[in-house]
Amino acid sequence: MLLFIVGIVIQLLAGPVPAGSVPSFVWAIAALAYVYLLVVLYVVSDKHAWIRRLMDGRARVEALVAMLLMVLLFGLVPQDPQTAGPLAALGFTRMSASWPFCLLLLHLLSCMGLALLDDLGHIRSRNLAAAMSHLSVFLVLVAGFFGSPAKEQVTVHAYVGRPVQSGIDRDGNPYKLPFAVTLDEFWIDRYQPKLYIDGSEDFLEVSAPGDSAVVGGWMLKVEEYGDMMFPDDSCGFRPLMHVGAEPAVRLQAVNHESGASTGGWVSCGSFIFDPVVLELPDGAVVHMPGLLPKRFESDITVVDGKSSGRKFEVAVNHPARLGSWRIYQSDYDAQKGRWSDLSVLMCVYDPWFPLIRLGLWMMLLSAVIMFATAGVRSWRKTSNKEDGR
Amino acid sequence: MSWDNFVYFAVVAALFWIAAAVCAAVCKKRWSAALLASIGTAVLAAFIVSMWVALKRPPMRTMGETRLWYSFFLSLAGLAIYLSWGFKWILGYGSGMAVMFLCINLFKPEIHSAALMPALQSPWFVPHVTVYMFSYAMLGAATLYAIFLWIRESRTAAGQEDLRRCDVLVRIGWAFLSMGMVMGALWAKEAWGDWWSWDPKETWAFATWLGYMVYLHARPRMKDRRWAYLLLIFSFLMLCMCWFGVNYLPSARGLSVHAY
Repeated sequence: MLLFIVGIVIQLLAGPVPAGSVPSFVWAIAALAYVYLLVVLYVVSDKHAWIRRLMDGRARVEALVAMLLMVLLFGLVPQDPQTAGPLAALGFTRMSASWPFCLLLLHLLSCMGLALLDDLGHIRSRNLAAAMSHLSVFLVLVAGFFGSPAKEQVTVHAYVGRPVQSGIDRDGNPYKLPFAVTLDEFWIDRYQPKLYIDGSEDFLEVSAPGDSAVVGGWMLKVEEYGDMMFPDDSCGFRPLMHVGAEPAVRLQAVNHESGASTGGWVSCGSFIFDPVVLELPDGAVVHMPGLLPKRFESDITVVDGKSSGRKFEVAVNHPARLGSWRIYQSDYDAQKGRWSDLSVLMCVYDPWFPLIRLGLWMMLLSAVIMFATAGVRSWRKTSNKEDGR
Repeated sequence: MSWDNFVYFAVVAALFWIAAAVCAAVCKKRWSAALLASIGTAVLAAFIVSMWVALKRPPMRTMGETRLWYSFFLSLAGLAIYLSWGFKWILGYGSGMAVMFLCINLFKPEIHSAALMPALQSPWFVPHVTVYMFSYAMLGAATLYAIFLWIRESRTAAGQEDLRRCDVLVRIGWAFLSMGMVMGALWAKEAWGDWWSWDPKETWAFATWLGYMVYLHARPRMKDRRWAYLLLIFSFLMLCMCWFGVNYLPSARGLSVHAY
């Protein structure tokens, strides 16, 4: 409660936590100093009851409950840095950068750190799953807490053939990268076109002439299909390898119940021509929505001070790595679709990456151990020991 | 191998899983039910591997292919928990969920090739969702058991063994919850460059995780059992908020990438 009130007071007086203005190496030193302080506190805890008070079972529960209440608030209050009002003044609309949240997180971290040191000091009598859990979560939270301000996230708009060395950071400010990125090629692989009729969930997936399906009571049959088609006044659509070309389908629609039939072209359209639909005699419409991306990838060349040019293939879930920088495939010009000459890349600098990844994998391992030992009776004995019972 | 052969594998796997669930309920020894479940899982695994070879890529690009993995991991997780802890109902739950996803693939073949967006084409997708399904099942069972014990308190006070069963269910559920959270973080870093972005779903997942952490730490010290029951119910409410409530929360509307 006291920490929460202190956090609120600081928030009202000084605003959000000013993490960005401190160089990243300072945070690394702060992390080491913090861990050292915890070790010192643990070593002298025998002589000071107030430190033992911070380490006991009750303190851990209190720290967890306090954090839980803050996170509940986090989940219930809309997070929007632009809003004003009492909740914004208290920092609740930008919770992760607010003083009450950060102070209570630090308190939880400290309780966990002292618990971890206590586990390590009595490892033989401790529950392995709990000790591993404390260690891994502490590692992740320390690396996340002290590493987060050091992280840079830069959005780069890369056009084909044009080197770019700057982007926009998380705060919307220009940021100069320590390397230049040139987009050599952007390509996109899409799912096959689908034909829908209004009000029907069924569809006809088109891959070749002859494809057919019953959609919304109509038998749709593909008579002509092309992946690169362009509108033509004389024949509807014709194949043309041209920027802006998109799939088009000439189909026959027959309603076996009513006997009605019609035919014509359907296309999803592009940034150059409008979509084309087929109106059916009953008023319904056959249309082709824009094709969904299956995979999109950027082939890039990166030039930094150390090399003349390294080539990478960047796709979603497959970032490129350049030291502590990682380059992610973020977006592209969706309006142009397959013809996009723009690739939006996210360049992320995260020097704490290895430590957090280690902590997360340890958390995974400790969860497996927890699963395997969930019924071990010594669990209760260990908890009693921690309270001196 | 193609989807045309799927029905034969699906029917055989489903029959073995259903037999395993029935055997778990009636048989005294675990091994017979476990063997039946294992055969069912192996049959599905054979189909998955054959598809992998035929497609020359891992079959995890379409929704239909993803559902194969759901069935596989759900049956496997159910078997693992059954063998470890002997909860008879868990084999039925795992088998039932696995059969459900097989049925979706069987009766809705037109959605086999439903688009799976690039961000979801990751090896983390299926395990992340599967372990969460199991954690919800275990924690839901713990909550139901706690409610049962609480109602029964007026007639029979809960014994140590009753509370221990609750604790075991929570520990297993919390273990799966942790796995799900960690897998999500590892996946998010690969996809978006951020381990954790306080997306509303992530915030409520963290709240749920903390709630059960409070239970695990506070339970040995609780003198009044009713606090334990209350805490379990409260934590489960947060779980429900994370699971589906977040889609309706005004603070989360339009903000969560997990909204589906």
